Amino acid sequence: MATIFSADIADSDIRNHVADVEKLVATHGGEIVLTDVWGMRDFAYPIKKKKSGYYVFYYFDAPRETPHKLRDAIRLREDVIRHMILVNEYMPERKGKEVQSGTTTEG
Amino acid sequence: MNTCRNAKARRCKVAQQRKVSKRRFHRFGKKRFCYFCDNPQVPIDYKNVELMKKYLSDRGKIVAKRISGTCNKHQRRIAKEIKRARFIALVPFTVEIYR
Repeated sequence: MATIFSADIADSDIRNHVADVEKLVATHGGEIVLTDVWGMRDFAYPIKKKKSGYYVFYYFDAPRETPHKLRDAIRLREDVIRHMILVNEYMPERKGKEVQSGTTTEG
Repeated sequence: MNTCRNAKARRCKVAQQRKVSKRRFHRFGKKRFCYFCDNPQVPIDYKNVELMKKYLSDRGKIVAKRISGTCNKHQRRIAKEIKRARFIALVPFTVEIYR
């Protein structure tokens, strides 16, 4: 799952926000395999009148119904300005483990 | 008669030169091949921004497979990944060029 956090969040708070989403995945039946934090990055085009955001990629194992529930929960959060849940095909080399995470949804 | 033949030969020569000069302007080189068929270890992933940008025009449009030489299978794949990268603002939907 790719998530972009709002750039308005203070640097000291961002870790808590990242951890909160990890917990959210866990409460919806997902098991976090890896959290890949890219950090602050400029957008290719403005999103909600912002020019940059905090990119975090979560890799998790989950049953089929998880992405649907998780999407509903994520959309209620104001700190996440954009997210995308996908079936993962490429795992970062650090872990080298293939992961399947539910169904493919974009939104 | 002779001049006519010369003129024809000249036209032929000009046409050949044009062909040569046209070939020089291929963006991806004269010989086109599918990069991903030759390098199957390269993952086509929306997070690989540099790779995605290679298959975008200066206007931000997806480069056609007849230009880039990518095979049908990999072109479908790269188009899909570019669209994912666009959604999370890693690559642009459009690029404005001012004249």
